[in-house]
Amino acid sequence: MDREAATDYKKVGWFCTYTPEELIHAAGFVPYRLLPHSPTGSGNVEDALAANLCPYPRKILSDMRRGVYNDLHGMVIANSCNAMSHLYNVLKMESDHFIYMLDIPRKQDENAIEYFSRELELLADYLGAKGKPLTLGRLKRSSETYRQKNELLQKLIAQNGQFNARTHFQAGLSGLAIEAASSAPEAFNRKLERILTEEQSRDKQSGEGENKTSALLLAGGLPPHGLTEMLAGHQEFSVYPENCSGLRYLQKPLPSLPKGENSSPEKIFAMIARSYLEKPPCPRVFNSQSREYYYRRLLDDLQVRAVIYHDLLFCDMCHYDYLLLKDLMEEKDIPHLKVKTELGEEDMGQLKTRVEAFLEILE
Amino acid sequence: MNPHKLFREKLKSKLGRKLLASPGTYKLARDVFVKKSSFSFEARKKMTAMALDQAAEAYHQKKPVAWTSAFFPSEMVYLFDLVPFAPEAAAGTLASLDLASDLLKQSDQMGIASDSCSFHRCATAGTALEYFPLPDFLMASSHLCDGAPRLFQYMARRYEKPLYLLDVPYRENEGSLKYVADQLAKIAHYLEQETGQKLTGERIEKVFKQSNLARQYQLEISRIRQQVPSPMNGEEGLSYVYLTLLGQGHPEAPNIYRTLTDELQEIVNNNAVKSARDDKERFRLIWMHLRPYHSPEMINYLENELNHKIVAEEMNHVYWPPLDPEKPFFSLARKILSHPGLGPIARRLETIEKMVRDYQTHAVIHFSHWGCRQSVGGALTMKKLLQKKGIPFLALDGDCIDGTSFPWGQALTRIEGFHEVLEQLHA
Repeated sequence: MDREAATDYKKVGWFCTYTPEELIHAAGFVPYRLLPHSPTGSGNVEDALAANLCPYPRKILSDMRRGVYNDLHGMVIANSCNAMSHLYNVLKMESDHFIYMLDIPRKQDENAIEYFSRELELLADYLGAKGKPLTLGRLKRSSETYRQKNELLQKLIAQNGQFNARTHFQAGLSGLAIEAASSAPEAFNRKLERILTEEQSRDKQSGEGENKTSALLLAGGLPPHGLTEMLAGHQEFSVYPENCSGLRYLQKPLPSLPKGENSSPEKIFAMIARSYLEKPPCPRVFNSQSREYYYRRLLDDLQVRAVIYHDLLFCDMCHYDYLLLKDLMEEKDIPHLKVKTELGEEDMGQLKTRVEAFLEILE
Repeated sequence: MNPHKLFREKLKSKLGRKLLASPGTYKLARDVFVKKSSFSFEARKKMTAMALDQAAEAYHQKKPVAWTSAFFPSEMVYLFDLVPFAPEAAAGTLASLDLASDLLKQSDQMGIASDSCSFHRCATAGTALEYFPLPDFLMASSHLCDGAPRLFQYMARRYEKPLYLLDVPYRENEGSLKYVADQLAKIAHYLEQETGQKLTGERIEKVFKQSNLARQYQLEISRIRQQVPSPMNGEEGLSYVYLTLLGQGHPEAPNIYRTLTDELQEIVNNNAVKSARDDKERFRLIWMHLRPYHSPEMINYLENELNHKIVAEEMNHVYWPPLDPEKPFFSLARKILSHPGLGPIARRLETIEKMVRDYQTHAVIHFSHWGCRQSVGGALTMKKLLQKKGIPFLALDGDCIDGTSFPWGQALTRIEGFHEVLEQLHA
């Protein structure tokens, strides 16, 4: 993984995939997604974040206290859930980095887009004061860079799916998403272009443009690193991560930038707000119909053979999202396995046994 | 036999579910239980009668029934003359009737995660087992609670009924006021279409007047409770959370609060009672969050054995400005967004600090309901911040609904330890 590529720049951490990386980039920073990679537990946060909170912010705080993120310049936390808002409170008290709370609507209608546009203006002002001012020119350039990135990502996914991703990224689509969210976008776009060229020539040579493996959907909350790697090792399955470090990050819409006299920062904020709120919905979004539609489309389009649902402990969004997906899987007679973790590597042995047994039955 | 005990026994029998779902049960309970039981305050008697009437009306299904989440503004329900039913409050009632444990087991079988809030687990199972009146609409708000909107989405799918969700932003500013006000206006528009009722200025005036009047009496009650010794304890005070959830905008709420105001003033005026109660006030406390509904043991021990007195509850605190009938949706939005639990924790801290000063309390106790990410999630930060300001703080782990998951012995040890600390501080 090319996470080191960003270290020459001022990195700004972010968490939720509704956070517009374009704005962080336009302020002269490298957006860097903070994910729980550390295999260690979060025993060093018992004094700050209650044990019944989502392990994601707990592990990030734990890593921060261990000095893992000392190279960060600041952080943009999103109001994704109660746990994240508590992480914000704690970091405000104990971190030397700048910490900003971005409010993200749970709705997707015009009122929500209007509200989010204004929130993006506030974020832009804040980031501009911490880094470089977000002029129209900088906003346009960053938006275009990220538009290119999203387009390249979607081409790569559409071209050949999981098979190709696994050739270039150890953890397949999850690995692609993780690297995409934590690398300087210019360099990453060049890397994606190279991969696409390679893949196109390989397809021409082999004459195979289609993936012949069975599709396995990894749904639910942010998965532990060990689970992603474990699944990536199964060559007979194409793993599609339906989570925020997978397809929901990789499949952002491709909005057109306002041009000429029509262009203004406000219009760009509105465009970004719309494109983010219209991306594949996460369980937090107040639109169970769009979530259900999204799941149905994935199950049908990918011809999903089986589903592994990662029910992240203490995540209410995951818990209720599972009930929706469970109904759909039963309706379509798709076998599924529900696993529960705290994002640690401690339970990997038991988890591996369950996952292997499930996959063996499928084979 | 004690009518309350008799009622519980009957509900636990095989006929329990039928009894719970019958409007007659609530009418009978009102006539027998309310009339024959002794209440320390007439206001509480009136509130119990109101709650039973509301339950009877909901099960009767003559008017449209609106299920509401804990923080959805109940004024919206009364603006359209709907009958509110709060599944989370119902879960609390079921716990007090000793019926929660079976429902929690049922929720496990349904695949509801056991680390979810037990109010919601109990409510989900209560829905599946048809303990509750059928909803015509469901209304939930996002503020403070991540679980409730998801629970309501699940239940709306189950019943195939319209769901109105209110997305409350993190920040209180011009943009968020407009965003919430617009959503409320949309919900009102949908309700006009669904119920065939036009929302008139007259109706808004009436409901807002009731809400504002109740607010005025609540402020008066707070003023009286600030006196030393305080005329009302937490066992009593915490029961009025029902009105906070479902009373705002209801015609009976101002009457209940007015009765309580008069009763409290009378106690304060009565010197004999004043001196008798003085002993019961070794330490004055603020109680944060809710209480255990499955057992009164914790509060009783604090107040009756250790002579602490809960003189104010976070849940009863009046934090919002009066409603303006000229700007109904903007005004309700302002009320919602002024909740101290929204936004950075500094807002909640500031509120509690002011309460500590106003009520002259010695300490703060936070009941940490296990499944609550919002309140419990902030308890450790609150502890640090309050202790920096020299305010003793105790977080008591427990569960409002599930009486089995947290042994009383642990809480007892912590309470006694905290009591000793307070004794040393005030020796």
